[in-house]
Amino acid sequence: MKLAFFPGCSAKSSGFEYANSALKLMKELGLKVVTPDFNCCGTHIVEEYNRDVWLALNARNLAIAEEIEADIVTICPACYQNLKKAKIILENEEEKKKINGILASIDKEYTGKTSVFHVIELLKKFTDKLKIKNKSKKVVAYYGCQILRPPELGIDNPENPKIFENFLKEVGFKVEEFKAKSDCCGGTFLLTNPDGFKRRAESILNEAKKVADCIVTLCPLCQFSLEIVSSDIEVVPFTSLILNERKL
Amino acid sequence: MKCYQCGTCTADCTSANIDSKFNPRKIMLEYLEEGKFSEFCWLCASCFKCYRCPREVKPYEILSEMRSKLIEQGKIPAYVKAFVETVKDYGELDETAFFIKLAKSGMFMDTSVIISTLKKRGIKAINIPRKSECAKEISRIFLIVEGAEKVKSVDSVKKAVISGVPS
Repeated sequence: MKLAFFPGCSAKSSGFEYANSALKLMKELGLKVVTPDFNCCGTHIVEEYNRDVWLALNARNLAIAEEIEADIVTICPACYQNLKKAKIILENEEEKKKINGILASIDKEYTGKTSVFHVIELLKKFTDKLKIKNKSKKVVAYYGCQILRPPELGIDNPENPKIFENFLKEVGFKVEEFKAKSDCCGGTFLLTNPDGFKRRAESILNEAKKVADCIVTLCPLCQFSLEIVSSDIEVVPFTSLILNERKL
Repeated sequence: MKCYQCGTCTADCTSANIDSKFNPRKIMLEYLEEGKFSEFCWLCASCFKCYRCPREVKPYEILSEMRSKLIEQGKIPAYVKAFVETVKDYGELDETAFFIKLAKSGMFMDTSVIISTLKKRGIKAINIPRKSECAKEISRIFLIVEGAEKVKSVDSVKKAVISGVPS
């Protein structure tokens, strides 16, 4: 199956390393990856502003992957959640008809053929090819929110997720138990409550520092939020970490 | 009303835990029983921790509905307006364009820590905003759905900024 890489809006700046390292890993694995002209998923902000616009934005992304017969693989849990949520809504024939009426104005049509994956769901199938050499680093796996919640859109059991730790262990990392693994990074507070933003990120960093040398992330916003507050613990997207450790 | 006031949503809430002004149980009660809107609904972190509601009230969805209705009434926080307009004009959330739009609407953010973090990684944080290839198609989607309704001017956005959300 061909894969359409959906890096999300942060890939141009704050999520640059995560997006690039994910793409590089997929290419090293010999996967057939293309990068179509995707638009913003809109997030809940556009959804609350205008539901039909939000639905059409997501339907357009799904439709352009359909055109090239690709499945979508994304690094961003918010994009992942929005695409999946839109797909569920568009199973309703009336909604689909309405949205296709809008997409007709840009010569696109949504049918529902494309599947959506988060990059960890894809890479976990290739752990035997992603083994690292240096196994001394103690890490914690940090999920954040939207990859797990709400449960109907998440990739694992939100009460006790294992997928990320299991992946890192199979690759060769020493993964410590992390109490704050599915707590919220407070990323949205950057815009609504700057003081709260700092306190939220600090509580996650402090929890991680007790047990590990490094926090591994799978969300560009979590990565950025923790990174700008952290002063004494490494915070790194999981794909960058694997690439770096394989080079050593 | 399905909610029996157990407060699980509030105990689990990321935002309530850092700022006691935000109480989703109380906000929902006043909204569902009295139709009262709370400006604090914008402080929700969208973390979905409230999914554990034993009565399946879906607090997140109720707060989301409240925000939608406030937007319909024209009470739009500056960051929401800047986000939507950036997507509309650029096809994606170009981060530089977003911060410029925020500043223009009177919401100045201290971006120095953001810029220095990116610089450490060798990334230029301030780029010339660049429209994605699909920008025209995205503007068209907005135009078709919203009809010919004119985008509200920056001034009216300023007036509509809700107090309680730092701007």
